[in-house]
Amino acid sequence: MSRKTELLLRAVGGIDEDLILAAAPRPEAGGRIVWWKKGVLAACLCLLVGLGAVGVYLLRPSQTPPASDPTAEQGERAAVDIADLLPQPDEEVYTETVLYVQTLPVAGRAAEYHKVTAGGRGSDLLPESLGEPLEGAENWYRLAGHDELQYLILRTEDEYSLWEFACFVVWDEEQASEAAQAEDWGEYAWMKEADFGPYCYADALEAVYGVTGAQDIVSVTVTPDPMDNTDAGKALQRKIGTKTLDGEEDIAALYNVISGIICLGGDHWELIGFNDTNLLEGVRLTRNLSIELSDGRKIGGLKYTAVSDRFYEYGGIAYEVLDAASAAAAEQILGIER
Amino acid sequence: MEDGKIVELYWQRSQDAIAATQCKYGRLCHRIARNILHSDQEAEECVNDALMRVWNAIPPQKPQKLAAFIGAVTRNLALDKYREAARQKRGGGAVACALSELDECVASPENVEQVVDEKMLSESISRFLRTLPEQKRNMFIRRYWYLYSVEEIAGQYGMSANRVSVMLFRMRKALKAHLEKEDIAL
Repeated sequence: MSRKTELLLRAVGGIDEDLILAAAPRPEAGGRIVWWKKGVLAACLCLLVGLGAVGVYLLRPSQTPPASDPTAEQGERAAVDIADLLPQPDEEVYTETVLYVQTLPVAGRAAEYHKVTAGGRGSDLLPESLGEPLEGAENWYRLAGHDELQYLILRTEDEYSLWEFACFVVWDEEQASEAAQAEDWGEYAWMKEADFGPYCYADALEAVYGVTGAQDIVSVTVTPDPMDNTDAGKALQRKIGTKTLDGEEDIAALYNVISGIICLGGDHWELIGFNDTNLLEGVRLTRNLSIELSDGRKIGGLKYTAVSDRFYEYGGIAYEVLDAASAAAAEQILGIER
Repeated sequence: MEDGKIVELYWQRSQDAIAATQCKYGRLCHRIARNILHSDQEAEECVNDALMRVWNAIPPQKPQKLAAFIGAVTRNLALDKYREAARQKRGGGAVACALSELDECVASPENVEQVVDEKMLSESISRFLRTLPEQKRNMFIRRYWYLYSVEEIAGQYGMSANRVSVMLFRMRKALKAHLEKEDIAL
């Protein structure tokens, strides 16, 4: 390092104290709120994992894997059941107040994965659950016996960890323009060729979840959104109740709608439209979907709100507004009355 | 305990001051040191050294913002340790990366004859930072003061690492222009 560069680093150390404190990554310093679904923990499964100080540790390539390759002699094995890896229904697990995020090359796009807390037994099972390596991403593996990419395992020298697909990254024009000017992409050189435009949910269903049609879906559980936890809000949630769609026609109709929705990427709360909405009204017009697949996996996170006639997900991931016919179809299937 | 009360304990030479400081700011300091040293053990040693340094500094000093004061002490000690490790070829990681990025703000790294006052430089950087929008400003400080990795910052703001890199790149270019405008030739 040059002396001047070091001087600069030291000089940064001497900036005004109020600036240092304002930038401190602590909860009261501001920042975005990230909601994270904890699949099997309980009915009220939304866990606020970060307020402002949402620290994220993206594992570095220098974290090399162990010399031996546990997958080398695995041979043909039964498919890992994700339910074995996640915390058991009554299991108490330590959950970090940190959301770990990784961006990986999947199907010509940049896929965002979030770290999932494994259960006690699941943690023990992870080393023997490694499946085929993920192409283009060192140390990342599918689950043994699985082709799809909903869950991946990261192997580092310290640990094995479980990750779940969140979304494909979508850039707006400003982001694309900024990226176009970047010269050194470092370890993310693969992103130069990636597609960051809006995408059809059918692409994610097929490339990530391995869902190619309504036949892959066994049922869809529809629940009210717990956005209003006042007594009135809870009463309305109870009144709406849980609805299970398991009829072929309903599932086909719902698949027909969701396979055509276009994802616009995250941080689009302004599009989702709850800013000026009474939360009770939000509960009335919104439903959460849990899609159960024929191999036992579940796809959570997708929601529909008639507030803005669109699907959305955690993290402000917004989809394009449905046309009137599709919105009417979705609302009829999901049991939303205007 | 309020900062003023803790500083008062230092002035009273009560060792409770150290315990109170550690209780209130130990984690913050540990994180700062760990960002630089990438070792929990070395970070812990660094925080202990920082507490001792603060004990020796107060009095005569009377910091208005104890968090920033002990944070800065910890950061400087960690950078010293980092430099020592680098000399013994154990360096690398986040600091080396941040330093190489800051190289872009230096016009001529070879010319070391120019003497630049560090305090004046700090004041100029503060002025520059105050011209930035809050989010970008905090992002810059988290990268080059707290020495968080680009990826960690990306997660903190819900952005891609590449986007953060691009934003930092632009801020470094702007800082270089700002320093030139203020006739600070690095």
